[in-house]
Amino acid sequence: MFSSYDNLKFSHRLYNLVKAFFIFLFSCIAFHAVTVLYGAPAFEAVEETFLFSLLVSTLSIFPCLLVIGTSSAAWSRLYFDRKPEDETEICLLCLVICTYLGAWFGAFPIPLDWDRPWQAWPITVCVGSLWGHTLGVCVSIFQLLHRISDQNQPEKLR
Amino acid sequence: MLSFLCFHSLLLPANLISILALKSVVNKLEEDTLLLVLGDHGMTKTGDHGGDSPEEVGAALFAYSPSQLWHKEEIHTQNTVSQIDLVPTVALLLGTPIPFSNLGKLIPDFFAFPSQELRSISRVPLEVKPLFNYVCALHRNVRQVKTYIETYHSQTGAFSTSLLTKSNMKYQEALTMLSRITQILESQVKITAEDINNLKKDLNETEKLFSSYLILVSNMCHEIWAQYDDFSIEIGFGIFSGMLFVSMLVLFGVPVRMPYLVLLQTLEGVCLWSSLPLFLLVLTLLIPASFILLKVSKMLQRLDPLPGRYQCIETDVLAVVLCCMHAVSLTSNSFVMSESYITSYFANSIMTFVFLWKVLKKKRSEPMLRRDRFRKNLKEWILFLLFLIASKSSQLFLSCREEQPWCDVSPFLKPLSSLRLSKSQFLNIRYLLSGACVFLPVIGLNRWFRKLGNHGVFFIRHFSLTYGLPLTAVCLWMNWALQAVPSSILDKLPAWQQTFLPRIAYLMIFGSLMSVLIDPVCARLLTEEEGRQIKEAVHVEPKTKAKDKLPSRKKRTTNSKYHKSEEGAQTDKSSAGSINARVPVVCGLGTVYSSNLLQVFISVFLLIALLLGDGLAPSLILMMVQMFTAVELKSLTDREENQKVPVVPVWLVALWSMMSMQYFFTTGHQATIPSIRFETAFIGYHGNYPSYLYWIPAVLIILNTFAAQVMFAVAVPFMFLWTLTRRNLEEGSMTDVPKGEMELQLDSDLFKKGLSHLVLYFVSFQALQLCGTMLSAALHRRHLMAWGIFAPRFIFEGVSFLVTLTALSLSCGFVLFTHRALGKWIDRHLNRPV
Repeated sequence: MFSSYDNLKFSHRLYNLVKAFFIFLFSCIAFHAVTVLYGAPAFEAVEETFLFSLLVSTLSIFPCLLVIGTSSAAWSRLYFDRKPEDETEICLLCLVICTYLGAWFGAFPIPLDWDRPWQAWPITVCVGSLWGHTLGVCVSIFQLLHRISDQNQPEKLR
Repeated sequence: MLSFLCFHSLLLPANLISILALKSVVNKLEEDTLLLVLGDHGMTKTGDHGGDSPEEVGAALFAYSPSQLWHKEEIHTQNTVSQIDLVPTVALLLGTPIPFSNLGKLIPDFFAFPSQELRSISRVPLEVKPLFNYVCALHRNVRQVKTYIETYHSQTGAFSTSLLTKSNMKYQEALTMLSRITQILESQVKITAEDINNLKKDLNETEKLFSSYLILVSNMCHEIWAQYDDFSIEIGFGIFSGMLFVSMLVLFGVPVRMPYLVLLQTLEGVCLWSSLPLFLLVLTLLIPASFILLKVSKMLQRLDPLPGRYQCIETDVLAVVLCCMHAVSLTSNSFVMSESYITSYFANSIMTFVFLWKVLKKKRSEPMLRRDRFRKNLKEWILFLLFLIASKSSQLFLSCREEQPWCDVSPFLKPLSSLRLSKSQFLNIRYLLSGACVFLPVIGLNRWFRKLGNHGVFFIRHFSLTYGLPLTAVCLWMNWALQAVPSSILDKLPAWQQTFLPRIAYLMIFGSLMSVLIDPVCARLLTEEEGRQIKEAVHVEPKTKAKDKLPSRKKRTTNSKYHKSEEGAQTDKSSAGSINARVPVVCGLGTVYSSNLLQVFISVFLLIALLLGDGLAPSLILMMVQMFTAVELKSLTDREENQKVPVVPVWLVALWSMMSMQYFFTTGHQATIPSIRFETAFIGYHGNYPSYLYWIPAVLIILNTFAAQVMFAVAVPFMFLWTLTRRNLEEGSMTDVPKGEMELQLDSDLFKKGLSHLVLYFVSFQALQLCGTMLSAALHRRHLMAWGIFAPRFIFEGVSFLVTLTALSLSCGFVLFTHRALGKWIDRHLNRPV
């Protein structure tokens, strides 16, 4: 992928870079909006909420921008159809789904009356998404190992 | 003077810091001040509290006073005291009577030094003074407890007489000893050292007797205190959860087998008890119970699965898992307290998952550019965002629990008259908004009836639609204006003026409901002349805007010959353009079910808006938006599947039940007894209800409290109908008129099956929630917050379940009633011999 990327003209690369930047920015705003719609305070702690959405974007959208670039067809194939083409894309899918799941589960400790300082808004969800991301990395490693072992012993499987 | 400082728990570092801060407080205390620092409960290492483990029950107590409080030697001090002991101690220290219903025992350390009055009895030798002082105080305490116990026993007869006499004997014994002691002290004889020793012994003896009296009494009270019939709890829970489990298995098509049931019952037994003999007893009882469940499952299985088996299983599994999580989360007090947020979080989650997984995936077969896909999916995106926005804005209408002091009451929940002083601008906006929210659905309903040709059938139906319901809306609006008048002026009005607006509204709503029952078929058979005109219009311009000339969209049914052999013949006829003059033309058959149900729904909406008050009308509109977006997204997904009679997916039912819980909270309610709005009982009534009318306030308050459940239960058939209904609203060529809801009439069997499945699903999800609250109330029956959180939640859920069942059976019964009436109507009008 990178070899083909190197052949591109500078202006095209610059265009892609700018486009990627705007996609990233847009995703941050979208995550912020979704977080608020899911119950985060709308007018208080705006900065914290935005930082959280920045984190989630960095964990989920940023790797995708790096790997599959800005082509809308590839994005749509990967996310709306969930048809990954190679191992990297499988890993990517794992990462993204696990990150979101982690952030989702991260909201659970907030209402508990444990009076812990880390229960403050966005700490748990941030930690949750980081844990989820870690889990995603682990899952994708296992997936890769599984695939490789499958490829090495094709006759055994059949 | 007494000063209290309460801490949640003294284990936390933050609180340790505040203990250090005590130093400065201590330095400033006056001589006659006692400082008490105490925790209301402890906490386990994991942060749990409220349970009955020693860590959770124990808390620290710190007392400080600049003046000396106790002798170390004279009175044996205790390491732990009971929290109820604080009440008599503090009461006596402040010089007030001990509260009547106190059962605590004085903390001895605080009474070592005599108070002012006792200091004057100088005859008491110094050595026994602290002990004597304490025994005197204890005597008062015991007298108060004795009065309380005797009064309690005389009213309830709760205690066993043998124990009572035993405790009385103890008391008498102690009294005689005490009187002997006082005699010695008051006699003028000089007290020798030997006397002092005897006195000490006697005083200790008396103290022991009083103490043992109090211990006996507290044991007696423990025996009758908060007794639970564990066996009945287990049986009730076992039967309920067993039924639920079985019906869930059947609904999901899992074969029911004996081992599952036994396993379930065993799990329950383990869950509720760990004591073996009771557990064995339950097992022997529950094997026959399992057989009964097996029979029930066989009966349920006779409702064989629908033909168009529902495909996408991931969304369903997720929805069920989320519902189960919600039910389980009810066993935690903090989750129950913030359930209003949790339900909306879960509803959003179900919606998001369905949207991402199902709606955007549906056109997988045709590869498409993302941009095209986005354009094609624009409608879905809008619906999805609308759902989330409605869900978020509905949180504006939340009310607060007592336990949440940081929470502000929503400005929509305050009565209008109280807003007059502060924010007049907000008052006007809120009033106009609620007016719009009431008028919009009524106008929409009228437009619907006009557009779809359901209008103008019977006089009474026509009247209630065009005049009755709008008049109701006007009454509601004017009534709310009346509420804004200060109560001092309002009270001066005669009673009839205060009540006539709501009463007209009640009357009109009742009339509207009756009119639907009297005339359930809102379809109109056109005369031959009209029919011919329409047919010509269709014939002349089959592809152009012929529809505009029609008074409404039509549903053509063939004459008797073709009616039964249904659609093939009919479409042939129309597409060939061979218009038979004898084919009768009927207006509004395509929406004959939904228009009826819609009128009922809007009538119920108006009634509930009246009861909830003006502030919550926008919340009801948001509720309708969420309902609509959910069913619309569902019907967009199964448009491709193109079944004649739609199958309702499980996720939609789960979402529906989750939303009904969400809107319980966002219509300004909480699951606590003080938050019930009792003032609802007097909407449209002035003064006191006579006893034979007591059912009216009960009904009104239940309707107010469970407004969301009623609305969602009434709207349940829409989940089923909407896919068919919206075919009438879609653009289509005239030659291919959608049959809409007539499909249901044509395939009556499938319709009934589908409806019963839908009802079963919905009831199962409601029962799942109820099961969660049952479990939490049973598990936490000894919890600190059992009566503040778990028991009310269980009661609310139980009543809500009954209300939902009632509303659901009424609305589904009504749909079936329409179905039958429509069948008769078709026989009468369309199937007559030509």
